[in-house]
Amino acid sequence: MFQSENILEISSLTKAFGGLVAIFDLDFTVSRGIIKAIIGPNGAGKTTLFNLISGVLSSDTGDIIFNGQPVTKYKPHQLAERGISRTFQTVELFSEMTVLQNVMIGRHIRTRKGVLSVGLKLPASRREERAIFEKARYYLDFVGLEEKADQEAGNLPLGQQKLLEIARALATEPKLLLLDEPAAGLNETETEMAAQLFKVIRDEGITIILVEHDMNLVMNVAEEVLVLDYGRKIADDKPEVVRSDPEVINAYLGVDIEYA
Amino acid sequence: MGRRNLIGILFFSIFILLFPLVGRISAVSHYVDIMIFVGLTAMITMGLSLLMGYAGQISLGHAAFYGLGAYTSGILTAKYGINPWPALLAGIFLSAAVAVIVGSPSLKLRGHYLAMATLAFGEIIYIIFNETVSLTEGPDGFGNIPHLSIFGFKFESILANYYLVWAVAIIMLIFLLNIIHSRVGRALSSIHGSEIAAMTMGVNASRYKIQVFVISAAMASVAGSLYAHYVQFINPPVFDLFFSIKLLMMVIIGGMASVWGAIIGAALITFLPEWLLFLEDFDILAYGLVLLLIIIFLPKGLFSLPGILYRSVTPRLKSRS
Repeated sequence: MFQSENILEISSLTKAFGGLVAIFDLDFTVSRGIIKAIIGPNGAGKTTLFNLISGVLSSDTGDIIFNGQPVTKYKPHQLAERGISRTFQTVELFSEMTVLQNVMIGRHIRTRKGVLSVGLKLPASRREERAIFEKARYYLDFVGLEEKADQEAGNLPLGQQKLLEIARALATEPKLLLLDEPAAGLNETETEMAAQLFKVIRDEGITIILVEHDMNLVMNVAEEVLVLDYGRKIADDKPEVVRSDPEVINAYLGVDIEYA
Repeated sequence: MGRRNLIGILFFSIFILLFPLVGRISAVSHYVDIMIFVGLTAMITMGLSLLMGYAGQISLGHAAFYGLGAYTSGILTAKYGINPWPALLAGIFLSAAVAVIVGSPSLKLRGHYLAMATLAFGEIIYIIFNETVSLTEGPDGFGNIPHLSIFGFKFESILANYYLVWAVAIIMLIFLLNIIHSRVGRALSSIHGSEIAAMTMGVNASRYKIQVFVISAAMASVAGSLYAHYVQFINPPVFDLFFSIKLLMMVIIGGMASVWGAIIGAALITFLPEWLLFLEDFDILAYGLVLLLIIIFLPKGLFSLPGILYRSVTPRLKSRS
């Protein structure tokens, strides 16, 4: 089957909230199988961009092509089905459910049984439920949370909640994974482990887009960096090129971005 | 569905099996008859609790689905001589179809549009029951509805109807518990936990809301059919808006996110007038007071009571030892 080289192609994307233009005329692409970071000062439109790509918001104008297919006006569940999954800047777990159940929700889009089938507990639906359980355990194991399986998700420390969000997103078997500030609130060791995890995920063939403020992490894992400022692209290149770009340094108010 | 629910169903079934023994005590012998109505009502409230507690939607039209079942069964059997079982099926299909038509547009929107749509729908159905005299005999209602029978056994006595109704109710209970402990139930709970995360996990919220609404409507329809065959007479007031509101009250009193609570709520509200009879003219006052106290002190419903008691007792026991 033909596979386009870019997993994601975005052109002339614009989104405004009333008078506030969050994303303006944005063009960029993401090559298949890489880790791409999106950075920029607060309010640069990074989370809005994630919301547009994952279908939580719909754009005013512009096109989104995912995996060679135009998906601009798709709803979140359609995008999830086609292989886009994400985490959230402010952790959005199903906090009253157990850790394992959270990951089981991730299997939802890959399973089929309807109300009648599960209500009557038909053999096929029992088999499917078992498969959901086993896959969920696999992804929990993958991020190293298998021992927390039966705890209430809301009771986990923040670092583990972020890992759980990643496990839940992976359970949907995405082609593209959007991580919104996965290292915020993590200590140095946790961040280092997260970086390793991202590389393992990428090596499994899943493309990652990462919104992150921790420049050490960005420089460590990202192969490309897109810099946004006031909803516009000001740089899109390899990390070592971007870090010395005068416009980028200026956008960060002259602060050396390595310590921003 | 988990061990606790299995044990619950086991004990509950034994309770239902043995309950008719109270019929031997003359002062409460009519309780078996009341329990039939509890069972019929529970069929509706269980479905409603799934709709309210899991899908987060309110229906003010379930008395009308109850009525659709009753009238479909009543008319087809009493007036056209059709066998009650296909008539019951026809009621299910009619109610489900109507639920799709009423529910789909309003459940695709966020907010309480379903409450408004079902309120209007309930009123329309109520007017139809009253005005299409040639079919429904209007406000007078009609009788001569045959009892149900199976393999030559006729569900004539109170006891036979009691066991029939509760067998159906317990099957529905198991059906709903299965749904709650499945991918569908998890999907519905996830919408409560975080709607945005549920969406991006691919949960198509409106689709499940519609499915739950249709199932609850079909269950209400079955209850209506069984009602018609038990009482053998139907007239419109049984299926009015007040009964729809009473059903909501039962679900809230029992504990919204629990089908067990829905049964408890149905039982309490159905038995309460009976227990307050001794107050004579003040019974309505006491009725209101009881409901008010439950809502104030047990906002999560009667079903939360054992848990609250357990939590308040265990620390004391521990400190004593």
